[in-house]
Amino acid sequence: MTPTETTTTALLSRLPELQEGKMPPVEPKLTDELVQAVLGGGQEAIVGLIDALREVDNGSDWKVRFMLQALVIAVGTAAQAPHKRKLAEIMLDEAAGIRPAPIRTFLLARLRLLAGCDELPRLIALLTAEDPQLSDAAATVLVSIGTPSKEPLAEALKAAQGLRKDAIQNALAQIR
Amino acid sequence: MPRRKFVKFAAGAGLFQIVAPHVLGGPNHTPPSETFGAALIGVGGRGPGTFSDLSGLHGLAIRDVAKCDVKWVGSADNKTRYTDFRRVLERKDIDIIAIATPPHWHALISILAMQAGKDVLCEKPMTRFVAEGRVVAETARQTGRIFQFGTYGRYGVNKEMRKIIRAGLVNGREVRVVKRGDFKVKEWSGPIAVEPQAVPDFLDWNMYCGPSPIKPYQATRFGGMHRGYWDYDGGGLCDMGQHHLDPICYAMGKDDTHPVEIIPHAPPAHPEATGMWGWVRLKYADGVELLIESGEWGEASGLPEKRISRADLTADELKQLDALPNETELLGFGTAVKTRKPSGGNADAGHHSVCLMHLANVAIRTGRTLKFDPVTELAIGDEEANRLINQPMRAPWHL
Repeated sequence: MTPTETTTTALLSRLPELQEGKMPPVEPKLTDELVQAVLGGGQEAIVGLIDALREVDNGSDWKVRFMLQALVIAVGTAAQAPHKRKLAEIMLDEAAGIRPAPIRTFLLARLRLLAGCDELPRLIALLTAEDPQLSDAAATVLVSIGTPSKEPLAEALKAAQGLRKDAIQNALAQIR
Repeated sequence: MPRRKFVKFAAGAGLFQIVAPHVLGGPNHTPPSETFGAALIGVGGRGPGTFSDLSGLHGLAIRDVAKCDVKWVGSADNKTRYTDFRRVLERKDIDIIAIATPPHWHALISILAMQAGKDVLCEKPMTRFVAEGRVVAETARQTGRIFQFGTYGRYGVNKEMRKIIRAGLVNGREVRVVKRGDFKVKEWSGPIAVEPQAVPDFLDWNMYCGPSPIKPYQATRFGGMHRGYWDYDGGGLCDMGQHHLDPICYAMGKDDTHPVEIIPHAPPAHPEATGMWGWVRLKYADGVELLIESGEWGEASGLPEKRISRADLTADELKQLDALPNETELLGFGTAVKTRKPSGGNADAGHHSVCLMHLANVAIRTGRTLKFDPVTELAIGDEEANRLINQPMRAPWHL
C-alpha cells in the first residue's frame, strides 16, 4: 500500500463495523477527530479517501462514503469555512475526471451541498456527460446553486437535445 | 316542495315506477350525485387501507374506478389498473385520489391531482422535504380542492392548551411538550450492505424513483424499507412522526407556524440511509418547545414535560382567555368533500406538522443547531441546511 492508502486504512479502521447490515452510530467526537485528520492531510488525504470508493454501492465502502459526507457537513460551519472551497474544488476535479460514473455521481451528490459559482463552468460541462445519471446529478447541483446557474443553463439549453435538454429545462424550472 | 317529499308523493302516485331505486336514492341506495369516483395511487402495504378509509372512516359513497402501481408492469390494462398515475389523473370520472405511494411521491401527485380537479387523501408523511409542503398548501388554496393528510389524532385533541398558547398567554412560562419513544428509529434505519440487483420485470423502477435520483435497484429500496433512505423518506421519524406530532402540533396551537430553533442530539448521518438519533428540541418564537426523544440512542435529555393549563393562569389571564371565542370543530374529510369547506387535516396544517420532522432531520443530518425563519421557511445562516430544506428533483419532475 502507498503511504496514503495506509493512512486512509488506518483512519477508517477506527470506525465501528456494520450492525446487521446497517450503519452503526458513530460517536460525534470520533467523527470530528477523523474529519480534522483528513482536512489536516489536505488534498492527498481527501483524494486518498476518494480512491477508496468502490464502483458498486453495496456497503463494502460505507466508511469512505460516511467520511466524505462528514467532511462535506464539517466544512459547512463557519469554523471550517476555509476548507469549503478546497473540498468543493477537489470533489469537482474528481467528479469531472475519469473515475467510473457511479463514483462521479456520488461525488456530485455530495458536492450539491457545497457547490457555488466557482463550480459553475465545469458543472455545465458535465451536463453533456454520456451517462444520464451523471448529467442528472450535475443538473441537481446547478439547481441547488440557484440563481447564478440560470444564465449558464439557458446558454447550455441552446445546444442541448433529447434527455439533456429535458434535464436543463427541468433544472431551469426549479430555480426561482 | 323538498326533494324527499316530492319523491314520496311521486312514488305514491306511481310516477316513478319505471325508474330504478338507486337512481333516486331510495332506501339503501346513494344517488349518483352523492357518489364519488375514486382511485388509489400506490397499492402497497398501506394502500388498500387508505382507500377503504374513504368509505369507512370518511363515510363517502365511492365508486372504485381505478388503481395505479409501478409494480404492475405487464399486468396493467389502463382501464382499472395503471402504472402511470398521470393517466389516472386524466380521467373525468374520478373525483377523489387516495395516495399511498412512498413519501417522495406524495407532494407531486397531490399537486397534480388537485390541478386536475381532484380532491386528495394523502398518506402521511405529507411530504419528503420542507419546500414541497408549501407548494401543496398553495395548490390546495388556489384550486379550491379538498386535501386531507392521512392521520387523524388531531380530531380528538383537548384544545385547552391550544387556546391558551394561541391567545398569547404563555407570558414567559416554561412550556414544553415531550414525545418520547415509538419512533421506530432502529427498525426503519436503512440497510446499506445490500447488493444491487437486476430490476424485477414487474417494476417500473424509473417511475418508482420518480423525482428522486435513480440508483441501482436494491430490494430494500422498494416495499416498506424505503423508509430507511433519504431519497424516499426520513426514517422512522418521518414514518411515525406525523401520527405523533400532528396532534401535538395542533394541541400546542402551532399548526400555522414553525419552530425557530432546532437543536439535535444525534450521531453523524450516513449520506444515503437514515440512522439513529437521540433527541431533538424544537423551539418556537414564544418560547414554547416540543422535545422529541427516541429513547434509542445516547443520553436522555433529562428535560421534563411542562404543559400549560387554565390552572397556571392568573385571574386576568383567565378573563382574557374566556373572552375569546372557541374555534369551530375540525371537519372530517368526508364532510369537507361534501360541503367544500377545508378539512381539519388540510394541507397548510399538515405542512406545518410534517415540517417538524423534516427540520429535525435537517438538524440531525447537519449535526448542528438550525435557526429557521418561519415566514421565509429557510434556514438562517446555513446554506447546507437550505439545500436539504429545498431539494432538486430529477427530470421531468419539479414542483
